[in-house]
Amino acid sequence: MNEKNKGEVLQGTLDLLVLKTLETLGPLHGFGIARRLEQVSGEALRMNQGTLYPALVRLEQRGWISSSWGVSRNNRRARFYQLTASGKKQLEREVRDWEQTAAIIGRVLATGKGVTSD
Amino acid sequence: MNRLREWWKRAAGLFHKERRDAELEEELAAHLEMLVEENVERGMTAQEARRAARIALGGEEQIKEAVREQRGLPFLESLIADVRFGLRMLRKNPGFTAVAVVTLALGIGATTAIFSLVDVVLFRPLPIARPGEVVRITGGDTKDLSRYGSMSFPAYLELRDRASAFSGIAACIDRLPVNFSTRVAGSERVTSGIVTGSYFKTLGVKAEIGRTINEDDDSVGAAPVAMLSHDFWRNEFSDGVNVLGSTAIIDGEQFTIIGVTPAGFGGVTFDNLPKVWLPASIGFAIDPLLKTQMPLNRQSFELFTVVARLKDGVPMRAAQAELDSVAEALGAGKPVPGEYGFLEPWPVLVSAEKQARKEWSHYSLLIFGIVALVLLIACANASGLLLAQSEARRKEIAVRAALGAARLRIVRLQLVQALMVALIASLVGCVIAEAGAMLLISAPAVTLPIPAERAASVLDPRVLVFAMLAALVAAVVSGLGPALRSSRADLASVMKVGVLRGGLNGKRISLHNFFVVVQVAASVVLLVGAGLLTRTLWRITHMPLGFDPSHTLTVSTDPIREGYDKASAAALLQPMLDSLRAQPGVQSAALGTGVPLEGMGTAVTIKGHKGETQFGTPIQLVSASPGYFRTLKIPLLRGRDFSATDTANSADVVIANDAAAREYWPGQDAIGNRIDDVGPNNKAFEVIGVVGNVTSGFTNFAPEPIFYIPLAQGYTLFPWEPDITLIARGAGDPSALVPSVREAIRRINPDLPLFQVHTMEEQTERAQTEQRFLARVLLVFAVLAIFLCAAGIFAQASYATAALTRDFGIRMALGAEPGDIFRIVLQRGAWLAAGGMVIGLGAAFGLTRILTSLLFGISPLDPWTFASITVLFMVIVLAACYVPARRAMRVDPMVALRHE
Repeated sequence: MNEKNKGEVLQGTLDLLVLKTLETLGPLHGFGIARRLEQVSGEALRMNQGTLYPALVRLEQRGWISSSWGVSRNNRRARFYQLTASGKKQLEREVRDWEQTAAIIGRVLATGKGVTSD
Repeated sequence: MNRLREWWKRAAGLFHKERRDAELEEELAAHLEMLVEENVERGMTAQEARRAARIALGGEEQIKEAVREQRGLPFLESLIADVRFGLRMLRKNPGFTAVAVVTLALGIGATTAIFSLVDVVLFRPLPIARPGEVVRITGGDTKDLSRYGSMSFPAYLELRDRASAFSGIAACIDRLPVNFSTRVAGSERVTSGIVTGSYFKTLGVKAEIGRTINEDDDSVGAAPVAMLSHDFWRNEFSDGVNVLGSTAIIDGEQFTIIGVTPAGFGGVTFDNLPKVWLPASIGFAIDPLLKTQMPLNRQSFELFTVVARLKDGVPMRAAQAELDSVAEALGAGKPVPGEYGFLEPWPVLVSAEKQARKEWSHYSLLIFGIVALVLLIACANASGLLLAQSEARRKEIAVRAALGAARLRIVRLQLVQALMVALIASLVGCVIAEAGAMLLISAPAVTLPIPAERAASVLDPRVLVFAMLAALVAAVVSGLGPALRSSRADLASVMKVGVLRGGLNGKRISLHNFFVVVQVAASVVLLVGAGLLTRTLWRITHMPLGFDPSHTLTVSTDPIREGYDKASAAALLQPMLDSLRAQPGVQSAALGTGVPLEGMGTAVTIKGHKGETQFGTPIQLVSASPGYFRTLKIPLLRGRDFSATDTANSADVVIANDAAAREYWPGQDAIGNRIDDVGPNNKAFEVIGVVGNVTSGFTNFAPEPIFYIPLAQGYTLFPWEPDITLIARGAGDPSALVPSVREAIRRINPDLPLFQVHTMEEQTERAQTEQRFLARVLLVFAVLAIFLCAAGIFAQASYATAALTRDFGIRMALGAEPGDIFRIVLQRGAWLAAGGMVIGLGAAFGLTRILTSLLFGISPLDPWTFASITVLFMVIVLAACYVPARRAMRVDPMVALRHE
């Protein structure tokens, strides 16, 4: 992907990725979330890790995650974020939407070649 | 739902900023450390690890900024920052702030003052219930064309009985003079309104205290009741006196006061505020004219204002159609039997509000336009100041732009500053407006052509809102130009200490030039208007009036409304004249039914002259005692004056003025001719003399024809002209004669009222009220405009000179004399002014047409006025440029070349 597309995709889906990460891994600090995202996407989504922070603030403002200070693995004071109940619901909603969108697009792309059906 | 939560959290994010910032810093530091650790584990050196970590995390400031934007309400926060910054700038430059504020305050204050005056007549609704539904029924010669504001009483009665499109209909006469007295003070003459019982109900007006006149009060045999107007009640009766139920004597009858009308109510017009309201049936019984029943039975006596309220949901068009058919059935457009060919008018509906405004709109809009020009000049001035200020900060602005501020943001910053200046100015302006308005209203010699009692005080919310709006407009007009201009700064060229600075400055100076040109043009227009009106006023006051108003006092009295009948009142005339002549200080005296600027209109037949109307020739008729012409110093041209032998029983004689003689008997001696069909008894009067003309002092037409008949013969002729005016000439100040005249009347009957006590000079001035007021206003504003304009030119010249310092330095180094520099600066100023004057004179050429109706004796394109204004302006401009030019001249070339 070129730089421009990467940015756009991230902006639209960052929320979803963060929520999923927190669901999978439980409470995590900012560094951990960024690490996880890079790992799972296979380094394709390489981004400035700092862009995570405004997104975290937004998610917290919307009540989907909550934060508190805690201690990291290395006895370092860090801020930990976790999914809230309404965040879990939002995640389910967004996953559903994603899957639907992907399915529709997939169908359209598949019927591009060959005989038109339906 | 979540969005709402977000915004709510954002608002909360405005607080505790420092703590959150600190927390974020800590969080980021922790993140960074973890990245560093990871890199070290991967095998990087400490330095490399830290560097790589920083790159991976991203710029700390950028992250903080992004979080800040997400956290708070960035728009609001930046706005508050702009306001804070603007305030700081204003404090740092007190000189600039003061001048800008004063300039705009003058403009906004003037506009607000005038607005408070004209708001009532131009913008406010009539003080009645749902004025959109109320119409006036006026008369027209044909359908749909309204020509006569009033209708006759029989017409009103017919409409009342037959029209069904209205939920209420009423009639009133709103300027009937009556003698009013409470037993506390003496008798005074006031304007009253007489109304049918349905009037207040139709208009939906409730009494402020007590109750309104209703149908019961208007029936035959009802007890006489009256209402007072709010202002009259406040002025005449001291606080705390319960006026309800007390007795007043009006025209000799006892009335019970039952209520007070709300403040500001004066019927359906804006000009007249009757002080007393009476039921029609009683008014008909006491007024000398109405008592004769003639006006109530004749269609040709159109004295009544008829108002009606449209029924719910009935549009005016439908009501008009219904009226038309009713009128058709009643014979509209056809002669009324028994009234000498008078044609019954068609009833034409007009909106009551629109009709009330019509009379004032031209004049009010004119004044408003004048004041808007002043505001424009003030804005141009402020604009120049703001431009200079923003240019002084151009480096700072360029840096802001380079750091990433959007152009819009920079423009907003400047606009906020302009807005703050304007808001402060509007507060000061309100104070100025209040002071100015009070000054205007209390000015003794000026009678305001706009009803001052109705003017809103400056503390009225509408006026305050207007002042705010004016400030907003001023801010945008003043601030936009400089803001847009300065936001275009290019960092590189600004920071450079370049050689060719002339080009850059040239652009900026052209915006300054624009402001100067605008100011000059607007000032020229104002000055031309002021000049024209002042010349008109001068002509009016120096025009031969045909009589001599100096040292003369006039006082009116009215025996009829005191209870005399015409015959016994007539018997008072000679004793009154003798009594007046016997008073000390009175050199000559006379009586009359009119002074030269007022007469009575009637129609007569003149043999050999075709009548202009269906009734004959309309003429002005004045009844005068012997000595009238001598006292007023009207020359007797031919024939003889009235004498004591011209009594009610001797031959009916008349004196014509020169204009009448020339008009009706051209080429022959008027003496010996007759005028016929004079008065209700159709008498004939023979011309026995010709006197000189008198003018009203203001008219573009030739002097009017006037006929004079002896008071003894005329007073009993017309039953409805009861007022007698006493004219006394003395040697010194005419107001010193007041006690003498008072005594003269007292000797005849101490109960006779005295009113309209004026010196003859005041009388002549009253005819010129509109011009006087307008001339004064224009003069004041023109002077203000010149002042602002000169200040603006001075500032601009100073600024331009400073900006061109290097330029001058170079010239002088290359051999220019100081005198040359001086000349250059003056020339620039002169060219600018010339440009502004050309535009201004051009605009004046087109605009002075509006003043035509007010000018006298000069054309709106009067060359003298235009020429002298041109010269005056040139002088002002050169004077304003003088000091900067001298300063430029004294520049030391070495200093100038090093100047930035």
